[in-house]
Amino acid sequence: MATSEKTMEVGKERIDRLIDTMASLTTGEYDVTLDVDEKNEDEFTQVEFSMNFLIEQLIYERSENENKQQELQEKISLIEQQKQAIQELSTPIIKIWDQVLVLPLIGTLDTRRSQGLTENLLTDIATSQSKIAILDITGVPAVDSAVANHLLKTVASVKLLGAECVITGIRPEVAQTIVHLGVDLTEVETLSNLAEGLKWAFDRLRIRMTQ
Amino acid sequence: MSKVQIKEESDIVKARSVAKEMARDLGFGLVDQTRISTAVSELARNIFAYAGEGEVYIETDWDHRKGIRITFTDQGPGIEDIDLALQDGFSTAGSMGKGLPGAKRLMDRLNIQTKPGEGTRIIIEKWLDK
Ligand SMILES: Nc1ncnc2c1ncn2[C@@H]1O[C@H](COP(=O)(O)OP(=O)(O)OP(=O)(O)O)[C@@H](O)[C@H]1O
Ligand SMILES: [Mg+2]
Repeated sequence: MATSEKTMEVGKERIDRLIDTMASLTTGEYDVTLDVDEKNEDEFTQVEFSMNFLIEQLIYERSENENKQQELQEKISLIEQQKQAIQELSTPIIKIWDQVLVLPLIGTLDTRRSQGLTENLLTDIATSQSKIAILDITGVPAVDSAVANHLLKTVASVKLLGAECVITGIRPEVAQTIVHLGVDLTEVETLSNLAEGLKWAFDRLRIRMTQ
Repeated sequence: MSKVQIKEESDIVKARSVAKEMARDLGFGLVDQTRISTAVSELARNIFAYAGEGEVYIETDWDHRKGIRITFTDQGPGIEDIDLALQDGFSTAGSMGKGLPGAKRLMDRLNIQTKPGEGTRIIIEKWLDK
């Protein structure tokens, strides 16, 4: 077994350089290459070459990885955008009559959604010169103090635009809960259902016209 | 029993729906289901607002009582003055201050354990066998 006995001498400096390079790699610092003395090639040169090859490979993989991550990030933000679009679509603002808008709210109202809704409503009131907004909450499963607060704020902002707001469709169990919660909706016009809301709207418009 | 971690705003809805479902399965009527889920909404929102994160634990069997018991735990800043926090209109956030007093009115029992700087545990119960 003569070959296995074969030994070679490698200068400490070359080994140190190799170790330094590996240390850099472990810290994520890939901007390193080993200087290889090609003229005096020996068996250790192969190790050095392999090391450089490995570094190139790592750099390539890392950039691939970054590309993938960016792609993923783009997809995530696309989904977020679509989610928002769906949310907005799910609350259409319907111009049901001249100067009358209806907002049929469905589902859970979180802070972001409520803010978006209020903004859209205010814009629509302004552009359509509407005088009355009917907020129908038949499709809202629960009204806690945060939701009530959003509704109150919306009503107040609508007033500031010189329009009026009525909330319709407060279900009996929701009404009871609101009272227990201690939220005061007495300042807000509320009616049992959308049909009542429309009647109210027409009355108000007639009143305005005859005034 | 059920556990819901509160980390983001959508978790409030999750806690509320789980509580409502469990209340319904236990035999609570629609009004009580709505009361319970609204109380859960308030207290879970407080966790999210004041502690950032925490946990809601819902159980329907304890001490031989028939009803629902929900425990809200967080490691947030705690409540300085419980009596004050339970007053209608008291809020350190410029909000309506309806959450705690409202939840108390909506439920049969509300108990607060808190230590400033360490966190808050609130237990609410609604009984079927009054
Ligand atoms: N988990 C909690 N950790 C720390 N402080 C709390 C916690 N829950 C409530 N508080 C304190 O108690 C006060 C009263 O709470 P409460 O829910 O009654 O009103 P709010 O949250 O301020 O307003 P609202 O719930 O009506 O929007 C809060 O302003 C807050 O200072
Ligand atoms: Mg609150």
